[in-house]
Amino acid sequence: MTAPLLAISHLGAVSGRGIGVPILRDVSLEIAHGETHGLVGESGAGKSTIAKAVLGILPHGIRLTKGRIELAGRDLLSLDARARRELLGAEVALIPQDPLTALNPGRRIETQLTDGLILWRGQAFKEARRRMLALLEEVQIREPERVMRAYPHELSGGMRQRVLIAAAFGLEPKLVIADEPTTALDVTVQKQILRLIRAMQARHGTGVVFVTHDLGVVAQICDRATLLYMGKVMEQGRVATLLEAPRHPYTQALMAACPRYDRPGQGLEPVPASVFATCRAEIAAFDRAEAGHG
Amino acid sequence: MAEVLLEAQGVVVAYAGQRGAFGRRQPPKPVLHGVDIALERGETIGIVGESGSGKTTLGRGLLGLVPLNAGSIRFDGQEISTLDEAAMRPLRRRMQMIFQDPMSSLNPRRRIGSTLLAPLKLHGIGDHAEVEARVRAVIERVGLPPSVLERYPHELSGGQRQRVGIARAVVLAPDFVLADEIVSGLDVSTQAQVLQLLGELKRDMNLSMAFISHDLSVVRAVCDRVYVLCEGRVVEEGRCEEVFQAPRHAYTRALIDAIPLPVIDPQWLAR
Repeated sequence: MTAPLLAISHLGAVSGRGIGVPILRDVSLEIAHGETHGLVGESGAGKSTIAKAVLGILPHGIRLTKGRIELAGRDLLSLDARARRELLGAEVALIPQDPLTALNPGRRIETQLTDGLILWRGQAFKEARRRMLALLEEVQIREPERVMRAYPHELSGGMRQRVLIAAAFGLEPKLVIADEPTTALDVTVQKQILRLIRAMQARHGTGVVFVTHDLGVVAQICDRATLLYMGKVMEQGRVATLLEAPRHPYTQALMAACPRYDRPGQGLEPVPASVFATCRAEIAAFDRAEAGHG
Repeated sequence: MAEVLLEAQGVVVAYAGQRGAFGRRQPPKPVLHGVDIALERGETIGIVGESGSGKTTLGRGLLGLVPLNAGSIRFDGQEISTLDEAAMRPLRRRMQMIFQDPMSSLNPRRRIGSTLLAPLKLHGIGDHAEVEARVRAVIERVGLPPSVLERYPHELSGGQRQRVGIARAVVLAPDFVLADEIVSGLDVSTQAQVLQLLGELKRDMNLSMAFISHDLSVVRAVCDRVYVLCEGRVVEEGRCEEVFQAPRHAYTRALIDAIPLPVIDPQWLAR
């Protein structure tokens, strides 16, 4: 049996000094090769924290307290900084939420897109540029030569996001982490970008962690998903099961809160206070048990 | 037929072109090309479109906040596009706006109570005791505890701030409220609460509302009629149930088809 592509087990994180405030509470999840896994939750649920923990870019003040993160069987947290950087740089890529801040405004696209191949694959600029030109075509950029020569501000939001998708898949990573990659885009552009990520992923056999707050996006692009609330897993499983037969009251309530143009009578029901109370009680019970062990 | 409260006819707005390399102005860039809109009393209309379609400019036009290059805007029978600031003042009390981002629309250095008092003072409504009573009533009406009045914007959550934004808009008991992307930054659970509140206020205060949004599912839930804007033109207009059931324009259909619903639909991505 081969190890899963990504295995996170019993991950805990806190913010602040001393005991700190819990940010992640015993989060476990597994992602198979070529699978898309949704990390879903409202703001503050910890979905981005998980993504950042995998990438080793947790913000200052947040630290892991326990748990393991394994990439294809290799324990990421026990590696020293250099070994970890080499492993992640070659195997994991990020599609960020805001393509404008992720791109350097002072460098042409061609120099930024070729960085990875030159650094991690030891390619020459010309060779790397040829490869990235082909990838720009793959992400359906019509004038790849013009885009290569452009600066980020000369491109539209959708174009910039395509450039970053090409960049992410350029090194043929095993895992791509997409952190709300379509939140800032119009729906029609969002659909094109989702289609692209799906196609690239299928063609390259990549596993994807897809961070989003949108259950609609989860339904259309993810195979499995983890729903979080205050850093704790509320429900996890196949997306079809999660959406069609949600077991946790929080999942059910979020589904009922989603507006649906196809069912105008439904949706937009505020999450009942009792559901939040149930979630908080679960979390309080968990924290008490943790404190007991500590 | 109900009375029309706000009517835009043939509205054209163009923004001045940017200066080129040698200081010469480029020709003005038209943003709205002759838009017609009518809002009946007590009705909610949706204005939808993608970024750059001109929906925010149209909203500002409806409030008399951008100069028109052509066309007219009538509020309660009165042409407002030619009014000066002084003549507009009494009408401003009756036309209010809820902003997209309450963090940037609320003054960070004022307590919420002071922010809510300001419009009442500006319009010279009531004596001190009366004004305070009104502010207390409105903060309670939007579902916030009175202690919020002592707080600063940064001390509130996103949902609470948007409730304050709504309170600020309705404290003057306006006839017309423009809501520009007011839930786009909120979580779904908060979004549902804010929209429910807006529905109640609309009913209780008989508000007429223009609801600008890129989210067609929200528009379907909140609005009676919808205008679809594409590159500065209304390409489709009609009752929500009709437009969503059988969109006539290809652009409307594309917008609707692009909404990911939380249902398993293996064909959706390819469609």
